[in-house]
Amino acid sequence: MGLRLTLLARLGIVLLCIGFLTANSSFVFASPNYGGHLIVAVPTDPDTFDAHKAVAAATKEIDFNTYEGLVSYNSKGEIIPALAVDWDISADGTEYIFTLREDVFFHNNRLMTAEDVVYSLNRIRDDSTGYPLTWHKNIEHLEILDTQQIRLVLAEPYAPFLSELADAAIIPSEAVETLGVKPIGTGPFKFVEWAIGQHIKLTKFEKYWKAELPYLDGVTFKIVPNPATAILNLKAGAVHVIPRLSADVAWQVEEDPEFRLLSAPMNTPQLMAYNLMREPFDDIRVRQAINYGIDKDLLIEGAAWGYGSKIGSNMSPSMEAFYVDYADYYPYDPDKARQLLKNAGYPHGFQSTLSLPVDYDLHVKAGEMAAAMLAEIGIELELELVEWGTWLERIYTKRDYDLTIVGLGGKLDPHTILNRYTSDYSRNFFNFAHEEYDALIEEGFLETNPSKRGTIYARCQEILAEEAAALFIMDPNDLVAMAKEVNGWQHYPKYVDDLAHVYFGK
Amino acid sequence: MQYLRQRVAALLFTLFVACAITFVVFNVIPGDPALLIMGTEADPEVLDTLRQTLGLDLPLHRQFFRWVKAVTKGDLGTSLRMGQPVAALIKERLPVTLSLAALAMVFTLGFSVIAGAYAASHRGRPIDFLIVIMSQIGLAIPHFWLGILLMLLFSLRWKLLPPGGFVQWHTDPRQAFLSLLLPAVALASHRVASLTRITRAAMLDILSQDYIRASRSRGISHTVVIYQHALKNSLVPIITVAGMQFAGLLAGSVVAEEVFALPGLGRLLLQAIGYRDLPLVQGIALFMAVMVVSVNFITDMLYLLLDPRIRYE
Amino acid sequence: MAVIWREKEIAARSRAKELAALFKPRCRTSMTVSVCLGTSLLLIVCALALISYVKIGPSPNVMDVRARLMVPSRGHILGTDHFGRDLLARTAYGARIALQVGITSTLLAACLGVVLGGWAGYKGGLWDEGIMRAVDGLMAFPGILFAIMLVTVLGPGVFNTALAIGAANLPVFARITRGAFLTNRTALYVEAARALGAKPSHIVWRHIMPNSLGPVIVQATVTCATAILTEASLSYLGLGIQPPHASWGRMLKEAQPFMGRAPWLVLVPGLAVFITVIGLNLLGDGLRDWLDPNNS
Repeated sequence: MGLRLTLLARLGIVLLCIGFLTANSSFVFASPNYGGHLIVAVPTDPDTFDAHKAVAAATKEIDFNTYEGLVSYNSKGEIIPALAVDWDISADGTEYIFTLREDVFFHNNRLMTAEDVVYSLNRIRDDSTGYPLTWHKNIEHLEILDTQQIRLVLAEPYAPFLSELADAAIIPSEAVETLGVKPIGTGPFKFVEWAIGQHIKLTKFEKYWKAELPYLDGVTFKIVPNPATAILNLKAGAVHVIPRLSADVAWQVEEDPEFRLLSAPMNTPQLMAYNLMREPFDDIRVRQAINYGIDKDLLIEGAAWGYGSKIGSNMSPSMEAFYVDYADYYPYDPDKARQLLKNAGYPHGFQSTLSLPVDYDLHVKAGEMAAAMLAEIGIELELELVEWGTWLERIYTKRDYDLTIVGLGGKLDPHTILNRYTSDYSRNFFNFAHEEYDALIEEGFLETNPSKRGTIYARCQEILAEEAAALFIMDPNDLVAMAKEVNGWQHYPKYVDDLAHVYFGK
Repeated sequence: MQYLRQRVAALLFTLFVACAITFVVFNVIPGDPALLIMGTEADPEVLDTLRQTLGLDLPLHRQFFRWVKAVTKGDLGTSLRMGQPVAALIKERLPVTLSLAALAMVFTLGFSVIAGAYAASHRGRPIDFLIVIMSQIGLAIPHFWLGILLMLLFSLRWKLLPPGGFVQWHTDPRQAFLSLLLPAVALASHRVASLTRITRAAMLDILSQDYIRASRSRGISHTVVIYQHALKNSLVPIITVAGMQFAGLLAGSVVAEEVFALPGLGRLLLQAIGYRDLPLVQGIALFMAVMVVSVNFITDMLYLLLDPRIRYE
Repeated sequence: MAVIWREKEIAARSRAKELAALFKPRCRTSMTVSVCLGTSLLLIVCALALISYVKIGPSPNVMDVRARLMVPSRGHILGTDHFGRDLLARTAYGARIALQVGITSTLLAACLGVVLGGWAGYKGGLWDEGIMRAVDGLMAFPGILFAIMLVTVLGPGVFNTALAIGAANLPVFARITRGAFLTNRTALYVEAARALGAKPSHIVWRHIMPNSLGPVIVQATVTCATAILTEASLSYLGLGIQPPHASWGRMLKEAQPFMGRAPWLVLVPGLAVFITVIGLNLLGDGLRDWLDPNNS
């Protein structure tokens, strides 16, 4: 009887799961409707629409819909073909041959050629363009093989190359002068207008090479700086979607059946960095004590209303292929924390300063909670709020701080994520130095075999956890609030909004 | 004429001082605009190139005088962050701030002159008392709090008005007006209160004067006395204060713009400060200073015209 | 009078006298009432601030995430905020911060302003011209903007906020003092003292200063009110007081996302600002009437 019940119960659960899955994913299979104009709330203006100069995340989330590179990535962060149909990588990993699509039009209705690709990549390589990323320095040689093929030679093998190439937009040379205010790319939407401080309008590009996309007739990015106002707008029907909603206001959509709230890891690990060059943080016992002294679950509940995944190393669970779970490496244990402090010679704790970037509410909240928790084990933290500008200059560049909380990420390759802990790296503001780690990163950089890379980066994550290189807190969830008729939204492990697949439906 | 010339010279000097202050202030603050443009991905080499293209490698005084020289030619420079001319950015945002200020001013003048005059003419009666109390309340209520409360009621609860944000006048004038309504009321609250008090006081003063008593005794109706004789003569202080209020509104609506998410000049300035976008900060600061100073100047001149008793040597 | 200090400049202008006369009290009772009411409101705020010193009840920074956004109850008389901190304790701490910032910034502005304005008014000539032009330059920005700029330079914190607000309010005091000095400098009694051979420092301290202080004191109460409003605005913009210190402006900002769910979180701090400011304004009005030499 008991067994039968269990079986029945199991069957019930399976059925429920199936029902749940289909209910949830039905929009993927149902044939999407065409038409409609979507309004998306975004917090700030873009910096410039020149894809080769833009750095603001606010720009990239829009650019994803207007520009494309030779390759792109899907919602799992996997590299997929885009303007190149196919590519070959030589055995030593230095030579790439890309075969281009033949049917790609720019928004000015001109056919894309191999010359455009070479022009764009050369523009990125040109120092005077001021392209914000440096990987392009690795490109040694670039040539057109025939009308549909180009060859690219790297100075040395570089595993994350393709994932970075995804950000290298191909542009038409004739539009370069006005690109900053009137972007022209090959993406599913073409630019209409930018009213600074108000909105950015895009319209469907009829000649897009994926003929079935996009579904929408057009998109408006409405600039709504304040999340509370964004919610009010959503409720009033003035916007349809709010990507990256603050967890503080999520309750307003959670409870409302007229709206949907999607939630998935954001790939932006939040951590509290210790300045490892300063006392007492050069002592691993102190760092471990702090790790044991923080109740991460409570912190996530308090700062992010539970919308976050606990982590124990610098990797988001959304990086499925590489993620190793160290979330409970240092379980909450205040007694152990006090003991460790005592062993390290701080029986009564100590005082220090925690610097928080004032522009990031989530980090400030996490800092307030961390300070309250650490006070329990005797560590008195003075909170210091700094503007983002000051943070970048004083803390990030000059490394003048004791403790700070920040989110790092938006990367698709483990190398670019973990690289910042190598001892000679210019942005290693932790001052982390570990010989084995350096060697592993060097090895992973040259390795092209995916499973070997997996092992290497797993060990890297383990080292960071063992050494308590930082207090790894959580990967905050990317919350997307939308009206219930909006379908087809996909989370990306990067700061982009993919609107090509979005459609209005019942 | 001599006086006028002196005033203009002093005015220009004041503006120069104001610009110099802003310039110095913003070069003392930590925060490198180039670094802010690049964010966490900054690379030392690229940073240097960027600093050069932005002209940040010049010595400070040369940067300042280069800017002043350009300004005298009517060029406010280019925003570091957005790569667009500062003048264009200001022009883009001005309609929002200007219409907000104008609307708030209409409320202020419309309400406070009537209420002030009414209170004065009913001095000592309950209505006067009520108006005086209301104006005390208006003076003390933080306008951003009032804004939040109004939003809570009118947008959230009753869903009558848009919850912040702005639609351009040329796209939808009705919507534009509606979105400015609450912030204008919030902004006006203070000014209504202070102007009501000033109107009331000025009216009371005039009403106690002999010629008013005389016209009353000649049997001229109460309304005529109040609104034609007394009000006309108390216009001088009202206009002075209203002028200053308008100048203050143009430049001081930062907080209201923040509460209601209006894309006005104040918010642009806050953003520019955050990005250490010096040309933009300088441009907006100069613009606001010009506004304030010239409104004050015009008020002074009006004062001169309205009250023949006042003469400046 | 106007609370936005830019508008209050009017009191300092040469024609201010004319306007000031308009505020002559109409009846003494109203004056007494406003002083009494103002003082009692301020006493409430001071009592609130005192609560934060004597540690009765919950502490303002103790968090209890499991008891967040609670409605007012016996344990938490005004309810709790998003971290489960006691709202009453935080409001009380906010009163302390507001009074600290208000008083410090007003003292700073008044002392420096009186010295600068007095110097300009007494010395006249180039000194006057120089100081007043600089003051004009400062006044070309509305107070809140100037305070924003200064606070970005100085960084946040209680003292820095007070400093920034004080500096923004300094010009009003300079102008008022200068005006008073100018009128008093040529007054008969000063001429008389000078004729009797009194030293300049004696004249300034014993004669001109006491006679110029009235308007400064009145201005100080009003400035204190403005300073508290400005602090609330700055903190609302995220620029003034740092967490975990409770400041009314910051509490409002933090409460805004939850206002539909926990309206008391936006009502209480706003009301606290309101009570403090109205108290100071009433007191200022009363004092103005009381100190007005035209009124005897």
